[in-house]
Amino acid sequence: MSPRLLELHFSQLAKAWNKSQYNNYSDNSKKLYHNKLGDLYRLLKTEDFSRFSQQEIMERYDVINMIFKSLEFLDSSTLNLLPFEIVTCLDCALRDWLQGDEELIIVTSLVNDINNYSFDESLATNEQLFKYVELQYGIKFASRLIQINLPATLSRDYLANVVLYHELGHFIDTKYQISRAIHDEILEKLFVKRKITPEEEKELADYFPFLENYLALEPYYNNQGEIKVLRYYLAEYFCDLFASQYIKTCSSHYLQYLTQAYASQHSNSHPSTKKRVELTEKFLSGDDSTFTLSKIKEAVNKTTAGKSLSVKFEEKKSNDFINLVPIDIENDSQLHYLFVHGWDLWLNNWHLFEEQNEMKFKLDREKVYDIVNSLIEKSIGNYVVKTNWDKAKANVSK
Amino acid sequence: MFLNKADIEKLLKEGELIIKPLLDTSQVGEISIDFRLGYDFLVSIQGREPFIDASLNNEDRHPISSFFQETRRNIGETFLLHPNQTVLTSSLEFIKMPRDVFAVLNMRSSYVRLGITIATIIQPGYCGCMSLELTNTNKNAVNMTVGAPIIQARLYRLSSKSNYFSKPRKYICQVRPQISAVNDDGDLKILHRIWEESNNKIT
Repeated sequence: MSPRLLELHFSQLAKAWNKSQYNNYSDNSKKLYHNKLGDLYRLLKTEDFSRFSQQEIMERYDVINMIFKSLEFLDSSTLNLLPFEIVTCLDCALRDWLQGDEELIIVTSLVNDINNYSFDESLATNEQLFKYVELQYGIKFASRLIQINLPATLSRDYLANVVLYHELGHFIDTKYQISRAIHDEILEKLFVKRKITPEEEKELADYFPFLENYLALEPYYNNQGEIKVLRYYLAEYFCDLFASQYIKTCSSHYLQYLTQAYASQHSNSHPSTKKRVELTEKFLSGDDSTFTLSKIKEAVNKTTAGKSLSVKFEEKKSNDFINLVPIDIENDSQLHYLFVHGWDLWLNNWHLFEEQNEMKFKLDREKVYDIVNSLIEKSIGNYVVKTNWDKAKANVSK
Repeated sequence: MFLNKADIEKLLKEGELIIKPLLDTSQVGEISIDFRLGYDFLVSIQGREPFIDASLNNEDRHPISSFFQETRRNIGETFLLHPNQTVLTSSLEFIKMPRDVFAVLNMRSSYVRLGITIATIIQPGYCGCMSLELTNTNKNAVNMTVGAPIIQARLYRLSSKSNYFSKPRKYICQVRPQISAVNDDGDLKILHRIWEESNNKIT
């Protein structure tokens, strides 16, 4: 890249910065991150690109891209329409998986794509770049940004939003390279150590159908050093288990809704819904006899320095939703269980609304949909408000 | 019968009246309960359409929702209410009313003095956040704090219980402000029919 082209790239950044430099944030950690971006931008501005080597040009190019991406995340963080209820739940789950004083800021983007549930972790996982910025410019970012994308029309659909727990699993997987570790171990077992029992062989073929004749894949493995589809499958299985730690079988319900008649079919990137649901149920029932499950659990423990895949929700029995009132939540573990209540009502107990509240009319499905989502939303909202209130009250005398 | 503090506390204790969250028991006063400003707002805006049509006589009318814009705040943040602006919001509290008690809502005196008005009632058996329609009659904008107690509810007991769900309800468990559903009123359909007949609009 020539210095002129880097000048072009920086000029484009200058436009973006001019537009965003006076952004307001309700969250102070976003403001601090923004201020650091400002410091970095001003230092870049003073540099004479014409004196740079090719490597220095490419390094600056990456730094400029990092500012662009950060601004994209911060600008699209839907300040005034922030779906803080679902963000709170995901943030609670995320905190279980961070190390020490690590700080991640979840930003949200409401998108016009009904299927776009995803996490963009490209900034949060690029530690090399942050280290470069610190060394080169002396600027240390205290936090990292990850962006959740969710469909604007479904931003209040808490039955559908359970998918985001699975997506959060992908972030954790990328961060700790969990599926990569299991992938390497299984392939080593198959092709290097050649120590596999007939039972394990049978199970592998069951959960990873392309491994049925795994010996045929050996030349490919020897050449490529990996079998991508195995990694994809492991990642999906891991994310299902990750989600079920918090929301029990809720993401299985949504998965079955999405795949419906194709639930028994697998693809080049995803295992069949049938097998995914089966593995999740084994995990939740504490059945550790499965080779795949035990490998995933072991890998989680190794790669995350001691964190474990385990049930983290706390069952909270309550008839409050049936009585048309929000549930009082006492801790983060109960918070995740609200989704289980919601799905249980939707799948099994519509009639209870009418019976329990002596309704003299039939509730239509849209009304039930609104009631379930409203009750989940308000239960989460009340927990957030109450927690903030109690915390602040302890430090203030009226 | 008008309910006093002891009556209200008894209803709360027995679970007949539900208020979630009741952040401070001092919200229950001698003759009323204070309710707080919620965090969801529908703000009236001026767009291309000249007026809100609360009739069914114009087939090309724009939905009422196009005259409002949604916005949210966190608790502790503020919301600026401009002069003559109408804003739909909700109480922070989700309530479930007893079947024989209704509530009359007014602004708390401190906010009436700032020129903010509201007048509405909550029916017996209602469940959900209370819909608050705030208007600023002051000549200056007023910056309001989300979570602040702004509403005062006086409770009255009926001579007998009623069933809120004796007929289909537009609003059940609403937790965010809802756009007026005036155009769904059954009477408007009858009035529209009369208008069509008087103007030879029936084909």
